[in-house]
Amino acid sequence: MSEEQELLQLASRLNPRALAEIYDIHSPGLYRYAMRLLGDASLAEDCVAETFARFLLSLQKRRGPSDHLQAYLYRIAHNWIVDLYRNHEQTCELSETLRCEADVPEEEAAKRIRQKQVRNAIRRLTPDQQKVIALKYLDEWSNEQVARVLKKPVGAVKSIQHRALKSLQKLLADKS
Amino acid sequence: MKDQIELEVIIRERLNEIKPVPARDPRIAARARAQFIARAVSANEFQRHKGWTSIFRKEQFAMNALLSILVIAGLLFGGGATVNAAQDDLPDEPLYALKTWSEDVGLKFQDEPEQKVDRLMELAQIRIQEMTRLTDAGQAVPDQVRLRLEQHIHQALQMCSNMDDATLDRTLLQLRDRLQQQDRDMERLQLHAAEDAQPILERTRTLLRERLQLVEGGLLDHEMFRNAAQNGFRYGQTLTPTVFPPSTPSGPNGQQNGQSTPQAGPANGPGPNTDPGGPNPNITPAPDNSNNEQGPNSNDNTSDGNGPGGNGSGGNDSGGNGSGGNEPGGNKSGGKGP
Repeated sequence: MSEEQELLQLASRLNPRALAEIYDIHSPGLYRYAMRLLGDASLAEDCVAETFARFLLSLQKRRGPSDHLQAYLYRIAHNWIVDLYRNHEQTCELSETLRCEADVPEEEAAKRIRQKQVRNAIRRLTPDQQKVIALKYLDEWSNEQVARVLKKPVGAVKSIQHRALKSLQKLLADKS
Repeated sequence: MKDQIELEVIIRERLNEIKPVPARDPRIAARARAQFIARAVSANEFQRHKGWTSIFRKEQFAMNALLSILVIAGLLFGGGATVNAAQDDLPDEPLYALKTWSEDVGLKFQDEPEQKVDRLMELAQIRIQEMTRLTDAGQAVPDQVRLRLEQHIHQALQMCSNMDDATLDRTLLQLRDRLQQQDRDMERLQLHAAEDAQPILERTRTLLRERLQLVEGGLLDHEMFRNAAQNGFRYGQTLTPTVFPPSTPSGPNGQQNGQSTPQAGPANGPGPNTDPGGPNPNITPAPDNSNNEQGPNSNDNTSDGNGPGGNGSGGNDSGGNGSGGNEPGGNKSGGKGP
């Protein structure tokens, strides 16, 4: 039995120490993941908190994962982000014409605008394409790891990846 | 393929703009972690509590069974204590019925005939001790004590009748010793007993002497003893005349129990019943001994239903009949029985 499986077995019994260990292992990566996609520390913290809350709930309902915990947690986190996108379709749209704060240098302001263009482009992708782009190109995951999150074969991931790149290229070209 | 790689390079370049992530605020991170741990601990406690609730609900049958076992065990052990407490009770005390019941139950579990006889004679001794305690306390001895004593001895004799010769010899010797001892106990008791206690004590002593004679006769002739047992110990008809002098028939049917009352005259049998309306002192157990498993009727092979259970009122008239007439329904011809 792998170390992760032992940890999960303890977590399935709601062992607080095991759960704390899982949090310590995965919360930094999840925060980064959410931060890259959302660009907002507060929302990223919400995403991490909600991800672990859903994980805990699934353990209580005895529907928690028996393996591939990382993929499971990233799936939850990304679903939360997608839900956020959908629920705040109008209000959350990142404006490219955000006013520049007085104390922000011009170069920094331009950087932020470019970052928001990229995030807006990603959120226009399908959820699977978003996952592939975020995990493979932002978190540098392998195709196999991404395949576990998507619960799809590696070949399907490659196909999604290709379509995502094409769409993203088009979306970014339009913006630029 | 080349396009794909070029595309990847271009996109990577754009994505790199969002790749760097500012350091997470450690205070916020610590607070988030603490909140999650608190939730985890709470969930853990909730599940433990829920687990117990679930066990109590799902295992309700098992719990009921467990409770039942505990209750039964409590009754058994508590009941045992109560039965023990009852062992010192006298007939006028509340737990006396429990005491006699426990004696009867105990007897049912005695399989060995010799042990059963021994136990029966122990019980007879207990009855005599009860009589002694009651008399010492200045209380009247209820007739039920005497009847129960008679029942114990009768059962013991019946048990003996089914033994082989060697065992019978051995057991009858023990019985004789016991009866002699009990007779001496009764004699001592009579010496200091009050006047009003004398009749029942005398009747008891008479009974003991009669049974002692039966036992002594049995030691001399096993076959006669067994025949007497088969006839419900109709003493005058079964036991050898060498032991018990034959009585002169006085009743109309000529059937007497002279041996049972050797001190009485030939025509008088055991003499008058000094307890009018009560059971004749020289008869076998009265009807209220219904709990007697091997009661006097059990071996009564008379065809007319004669037996100790039917105490003929005609047989109790004062000294009119011989002892045979006083035996309740004891006449095989049924002339005196009810």
